[in-house]
Amino acid sequence: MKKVLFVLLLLSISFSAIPIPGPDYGVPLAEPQPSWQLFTGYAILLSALILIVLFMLGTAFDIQELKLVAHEEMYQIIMTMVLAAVLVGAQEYMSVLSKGFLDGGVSIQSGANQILTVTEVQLKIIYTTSLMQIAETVGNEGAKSAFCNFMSTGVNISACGGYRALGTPISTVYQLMGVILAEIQSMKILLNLGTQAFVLFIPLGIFLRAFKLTRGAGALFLGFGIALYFIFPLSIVFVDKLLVESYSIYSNSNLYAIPPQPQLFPCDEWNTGEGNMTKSMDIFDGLIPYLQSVLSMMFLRGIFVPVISLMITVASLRALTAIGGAEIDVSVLSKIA
Amino acid sequence: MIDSLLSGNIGFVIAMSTIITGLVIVLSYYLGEAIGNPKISLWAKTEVIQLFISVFMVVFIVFAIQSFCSIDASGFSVFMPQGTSIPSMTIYDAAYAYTYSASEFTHNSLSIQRYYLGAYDLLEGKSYWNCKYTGCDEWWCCLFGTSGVSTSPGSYFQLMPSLSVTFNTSIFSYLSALNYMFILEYAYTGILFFLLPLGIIFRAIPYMRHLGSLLIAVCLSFIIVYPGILSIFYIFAQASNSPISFTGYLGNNAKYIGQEEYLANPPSISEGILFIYGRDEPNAIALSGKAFIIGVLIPTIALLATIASVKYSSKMIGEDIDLSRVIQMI
Repeated sequence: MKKVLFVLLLLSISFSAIPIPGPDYGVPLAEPQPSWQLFTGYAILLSALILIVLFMLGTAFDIQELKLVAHEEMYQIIMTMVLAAVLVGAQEYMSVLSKGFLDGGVSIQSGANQILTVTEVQLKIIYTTSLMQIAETVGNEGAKSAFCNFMSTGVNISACGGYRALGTPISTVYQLMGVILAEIQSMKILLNLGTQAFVLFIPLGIFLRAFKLTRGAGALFLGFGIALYFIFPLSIVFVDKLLVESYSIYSNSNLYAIPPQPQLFPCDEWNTGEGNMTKSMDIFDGLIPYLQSVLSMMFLRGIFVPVISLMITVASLRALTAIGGAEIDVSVLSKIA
Repeated sequence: MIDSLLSGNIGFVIAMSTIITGLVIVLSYYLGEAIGNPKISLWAKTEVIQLFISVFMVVFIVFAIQSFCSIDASGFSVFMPQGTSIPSMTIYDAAYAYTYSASEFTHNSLSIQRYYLGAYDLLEGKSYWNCKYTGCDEWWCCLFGTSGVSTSPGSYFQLMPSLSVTFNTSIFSYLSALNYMFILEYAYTGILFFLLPLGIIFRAIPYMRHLGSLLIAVCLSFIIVYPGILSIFYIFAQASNSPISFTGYLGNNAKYIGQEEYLANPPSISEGILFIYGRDEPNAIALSGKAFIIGVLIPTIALLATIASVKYSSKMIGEDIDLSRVIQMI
């Protein structure tokens, strides 16, 4: 009863949802072109036909076990039909939900793809422009040194040592950025795969789960199809919207904004006074708010949103395979996630 | 081909083991009748049904193998978006093509990232010694011995270790893809077919039914379910605009594949020469993400489904067997 009430609550929320505007990089997601409903219908019909043939064989040769198995499995087909109807309803519900949550009424899958693409594009811009310019200045200026020689007597001047201290945080941010860019790419592939695979996974899953021998594989296909097509994009959209809203209220700043580049100063390799130290300190002062903004964007939108969404998806996968008729231990996937 | 193995020695061994098991059951039944021991007769009656189940399973496996060898993967293009072209091949070939292409893609990802890292190394090591410097930038300044300024214009590359991190991911993906390919090759050698006659015999021996059903289930799952699922993903990879396409290298980076030797003797060490097709680190990094999905996640899903199939098949034909230890091994 509590679960039914929770679903009803979600329904009411879906109609009152307010779209939150964000940057648009115009990235449509390839929707499944062939009709999955049609293929699902064929799969149910084919499974029912095979079971009818088995029942007829059982009747013809008077094999009670065969008749019993066919009879029992026919109930599974009826349950599968209910499941297919629920999926059709869920898809409609999703389109209503996406109209409420996303700008322009795009599908929830395209909305999730857009969220990931916005994060990816912004990180790529930071990687190749502002952060790279900072790295170039700090790295190259820090490597400068001068040598003064007269009559074979010389002195090596390393006046730009203060710049080298700035290298560590930049290097750490680049390391993190590499991991996050690769991770976002994986997430986008998974999202696209879920959208395209749905058209094959659901009919195949429904067909395979009609027979006891292949119920495990069928449940896995159904679970993956539903988890990747419905749960995964929905969790990305929910977590991201919640995060962006709460962040803007808490910190009074926009998590979508690309931070401005701090001012950079060249090093004077001959100046052994405090001039270079002051310059590096000034760069450091500008670097702190810049890196704070970059890191908050990376941690929240590049790690928090994907990790929470993946955790929700993998957790739902086990429950979905159980609904499909064969609970499958997907703890390995949790470890990978 | 895998189906030809069944018609050779293995088919003969399966038939012989079925006949021998049948003979043992029949002899046991008559022995039970002769000495008036109803326990032996009852055991023989039970085992006849079990023998039929074993034979049915073997027939099912043979039927599935024959089907996989005759179904053309190109027929699945109806499920794919318009314009998808799937090469004509059997399901087994499609499964192998997946693991092979996954290994190739992950290796190419490695190759691209290795090129970047190699070029970074060269650029980091390049330094200039300038005898003209601030305060003395005339030619005669160079007459005063070795006074001057040392600069390293490429030293900032050492502050960009992103590719080193993702290079490790690509290595892991490459090894994983190879691992799954070897598992498939092992299954294709037909060695698993030897489990079938053993399974038939063990299922009829008291206290050994667990083992017998497990052997048959392992054969069924690794010969049918594992290649079946890999072939489905191969079909997906052929779809137009597929996210797991084996040819999408994201931009100009594809031109750096196999170019590591160029770094051994470059015409000159400059960014314009070493990165002749341009620098695109974000997309080179993103390749690791794709390599991970293609080389690790998808084959793991296939193996998970296979293990699930072993569990449920062995449960159906024998008794439930705890496979949680096997899952932990992945």
